[in-house]
Amino acid sequence: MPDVTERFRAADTLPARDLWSDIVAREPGSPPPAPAGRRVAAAIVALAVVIAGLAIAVRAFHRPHPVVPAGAVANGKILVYNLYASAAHQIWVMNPDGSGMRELRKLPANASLPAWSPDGKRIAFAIANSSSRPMEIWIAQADGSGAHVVFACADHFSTAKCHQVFDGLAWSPGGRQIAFLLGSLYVMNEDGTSLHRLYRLNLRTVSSPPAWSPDGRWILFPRTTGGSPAARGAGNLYLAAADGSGIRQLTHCGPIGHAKCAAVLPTWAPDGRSIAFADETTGAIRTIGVDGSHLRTLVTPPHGMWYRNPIWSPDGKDIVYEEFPMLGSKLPPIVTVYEMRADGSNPITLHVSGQPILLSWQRLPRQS
Amino acid sequence: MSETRTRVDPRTRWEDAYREVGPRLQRALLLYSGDLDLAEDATAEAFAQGIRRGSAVRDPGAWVWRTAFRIAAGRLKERSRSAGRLPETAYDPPDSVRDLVVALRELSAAQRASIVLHDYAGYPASEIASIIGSTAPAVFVHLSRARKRLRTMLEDDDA
Repeated sequence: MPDVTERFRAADTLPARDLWSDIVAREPGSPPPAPAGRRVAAAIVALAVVIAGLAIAVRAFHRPHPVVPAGAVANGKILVYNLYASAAHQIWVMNPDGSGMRELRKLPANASLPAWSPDGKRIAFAIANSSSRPMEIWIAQADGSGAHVVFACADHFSTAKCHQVFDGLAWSPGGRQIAFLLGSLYVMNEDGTSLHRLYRLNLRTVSSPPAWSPDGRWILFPRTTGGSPAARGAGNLYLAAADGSGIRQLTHCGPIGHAKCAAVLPTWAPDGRSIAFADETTGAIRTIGVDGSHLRTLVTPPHGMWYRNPIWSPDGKDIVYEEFPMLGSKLPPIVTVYEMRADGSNPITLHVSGQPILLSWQRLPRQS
Repeated sequence: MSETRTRVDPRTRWEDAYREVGPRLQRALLLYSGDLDLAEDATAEAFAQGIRRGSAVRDPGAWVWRTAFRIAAGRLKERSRSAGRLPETAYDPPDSVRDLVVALRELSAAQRASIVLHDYAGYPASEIASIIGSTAPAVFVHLSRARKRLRTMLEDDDA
């Protein structure tokens, strides 16, 4: 019997009536008036942009100059993986206040899923999962120059494995190793040598890159619990010991249908004591202690919207995250990047985009 | 020296785009929605909106895919997934395709959109994320779950 791929191929035999006469017969004229809901939403977004602009200005003039605490690092630029389909390059950088957005033109055009190295001097990224090209991991300098392959999946694994879900990578705190999920959890040196499987996981439903703890002891990742559909858990967070000594479950969200959380896209606070993640049950940004205690909701989105991709500023004071409308929502497809205090207070708009994005925040050396 | 400028009728530009991507978009929307009327309507409405926007749309081909899928998603949501209508012309689609359309109805909207755009239309995950208003990691999740469910349903049907 035909497999799924063959069935999709056969779909080209479905009839497609010529609709051109229908198209030109539709009411000509100016763009259709937006439904009231969309107008209201657009007005809210416009108002939010104005308020955010004012807020940024107020913060710029009235916030005391940030003092980097001893032992912390300064906040550098934010890498923006802009999924803009028609842009020449998908990876951009912007300043932490949302200004100075620009393309990293020296990177390959199809670079994706970028992550700053811990010293802020390099970028690791993927060229991932296209139907014609197996996954690769690359490293480049901070300006995008010197890009080179360090891991070509096809050199190590079967074609089938190389087209498995790949969701990004994590640098070790010292910048000497890179971890990634490709069915299982793998670790290799930054130059691609010493590749080894740290844990066999049989993951099929990874939804975000792994995250290496600041002290180097743990690699954090989300997964859906196995078992029967009724018993299957929503997304939970797991901590894998980086020395290979075992894995422990951090969140206990409960079975699908009764889940109190569904954790994806986790990131470590710079002090390593707590973790921020996106909760797919409510679209909220939440935090939890590294010992599983103190599960808190920082911000909850308005109806029809999701909050995603929380990232901590390197100085630990702020969290940046994005908001976008759910599929099927009548709200305009506008993605907004917000910055808030790490306790969830004082959210301000950093950037408004027509496209979903992913973020990574550069650490700069400690200021002395 | 005089300069000759050719004025391109915006409608011609959009008709070229329709001839290039329209039929494939229409089939993708049929797979996504399981509803021939909805697929045709979303396709026609997306192109009609594009014509009205004229040169404000830089890339009609990319724009219309995104717009049509958003229109279809909104209408499916309004209708709460009615049974819809499969093609009923003198042409009878192969059973394998008909089974596929039926199986796709059992997936979530995001899973359906992701797998149709990826496995039928050939879009990479990053562009699918752009079309459906999601992120590439989320699209990979949708693809993984959709494939698993389709495999289960279609293999069970085949048994």
